[in-house]
Amino acid sequence: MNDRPQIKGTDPAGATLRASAVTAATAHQAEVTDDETDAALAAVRDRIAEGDAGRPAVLPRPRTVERWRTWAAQAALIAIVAGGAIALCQRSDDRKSIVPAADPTASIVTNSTDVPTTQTTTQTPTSEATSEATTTPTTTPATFALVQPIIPYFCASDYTCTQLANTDDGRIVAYEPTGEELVVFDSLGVSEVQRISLAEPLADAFPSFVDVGPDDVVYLSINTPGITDPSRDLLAIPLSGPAAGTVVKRWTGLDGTGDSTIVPQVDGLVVVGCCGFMEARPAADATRYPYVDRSGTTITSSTHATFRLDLTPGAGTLVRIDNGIETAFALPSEFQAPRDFPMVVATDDGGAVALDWIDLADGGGMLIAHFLAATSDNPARVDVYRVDTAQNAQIALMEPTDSVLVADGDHFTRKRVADIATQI
Amino acid sequence: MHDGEYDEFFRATYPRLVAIGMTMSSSRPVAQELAQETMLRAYHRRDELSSYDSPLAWCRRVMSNLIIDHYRSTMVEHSVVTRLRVDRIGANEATNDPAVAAASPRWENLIAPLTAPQRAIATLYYAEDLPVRAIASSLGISPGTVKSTLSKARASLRRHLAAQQEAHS
Repeated sequence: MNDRPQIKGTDPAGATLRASAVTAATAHQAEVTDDETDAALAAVRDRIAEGDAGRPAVLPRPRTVERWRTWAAQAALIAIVAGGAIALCQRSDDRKSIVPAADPTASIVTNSTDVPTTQTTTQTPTSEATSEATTTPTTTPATFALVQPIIPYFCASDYTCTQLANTDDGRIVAYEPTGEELVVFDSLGVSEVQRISLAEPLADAFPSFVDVGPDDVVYLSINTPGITDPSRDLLAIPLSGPAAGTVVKRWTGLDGTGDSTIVPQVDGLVVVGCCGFMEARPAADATRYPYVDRSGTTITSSTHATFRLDLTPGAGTLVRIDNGIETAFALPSEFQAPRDFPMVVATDDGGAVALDWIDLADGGGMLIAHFLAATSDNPARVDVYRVDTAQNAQIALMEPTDSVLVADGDHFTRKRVADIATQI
Repeated sequence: MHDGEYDEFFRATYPRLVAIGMTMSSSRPVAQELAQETMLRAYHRRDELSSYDSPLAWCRRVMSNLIIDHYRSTMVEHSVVTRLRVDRIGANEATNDPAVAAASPRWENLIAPLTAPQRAIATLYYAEDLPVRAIASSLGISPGTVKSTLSKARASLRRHLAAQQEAHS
């Protein structure tokens, strides 16, 4: 394949463009004086002396309100959220598995209130599902006391703590780094049902719980051993069966710079690069890591609800895909230009919840977009929330029933989105 | 890489990064700020960088992604896809040689309508003279994505080049 078609002497326009570009670059470089370079070096030296580590180059998907404090702290949280979000996509597809996080026998603690929304959205027509959204008042449903999980929260280091994800049938899986164990809880997290020790230690300072795929196989990511370049390995570890706790499949050489993220799709885990190169994400030619079963054999497809972003400038949509049926939701303005791919959870009502760090005029923050599908009574709409800075909530697991699990001291606590975020 | 070697690396690399940044963004302050950010990151990875075949390639990747991130943020803040304004720099800032300037349409004008990713890839392709595979490797994206993005960028560039040439004639 010709890597440079119609350029270098064969294409007058290309030659002119090249001359124009080179002229500009050469002139720009010539404008940088030695004094300016020395001043820049001094400025960087000052930042080094102040302990400024710079913006996070390794994992720039911050998941806390303190965006740039340490990339490693963010890495731990990113992994937590990613695991939860990815797994919940699967969980939501198995409608039988969705259990109420609230205790219906508990008393009502808050009456419903009307909350105005500032968001307007339209759904893009698709082949199978279309609806139209309008601005409507948001009504907060009656709030019940939430069932609280018994899942402990441990940290093996400052930045390596318990991470959560869901199995297909809704069980909660905790990767517990201090003992390097996978602990399985019921879907509410109120009872432990299984504990699996890893057959071999990961021996990595920053393991990341990526996903729980089909057939009870967990996907963990670690730094590639013995490699100084930013490179990660993806490990497939069954939760049950003869090989439970052992690595049945290992991929090596994944991007470790933080300039990409892994998104679950029907045929496996797919890489989405950062920085807006793809108008459709994941891209059609994206790197894919197919799911495997408990013996390490490739599984050709799954029935998970998955998501795609179509980023037509100014008119982006989030597309939910259920067994080939697509439902598109217009992205709110804050989510029109994501860095790579937000954390997305399929909700029970056919909608979705997306979580992402968004740069805003005041410095940015964690935003949650709740996409509500159209019903016979209400048009589709999207509600956008901003996670309260003061709470500094570290969201460990997003659930499809308007609740989240957050790290809370030495355990996890279940909270409603409205408890940790404010609608904007 | 000890401190003296880092300083040497800085002096050799910083002007190039600023040039890349300005060629991509047409904004000198943005290019300067992000070049410093890139070099700060390089400092914290200096031991690893010294083992790389091309530390400049790593810096170029970081710089490109920072610029794209910068304009992505701008897009979000304005809630629309924004285009870089051509009038951010002076009319003769791109080159001090009037003859060269007259012979080559100003790059800043040509790339003004492009999206940030298109500007980044077009700059690496035309100004840095990198082949598609090297751009893909440098930016951590697939060659197919580079080609599709470059194709759109090239179409836009040629349209505007033709328009400029027609205006001149």
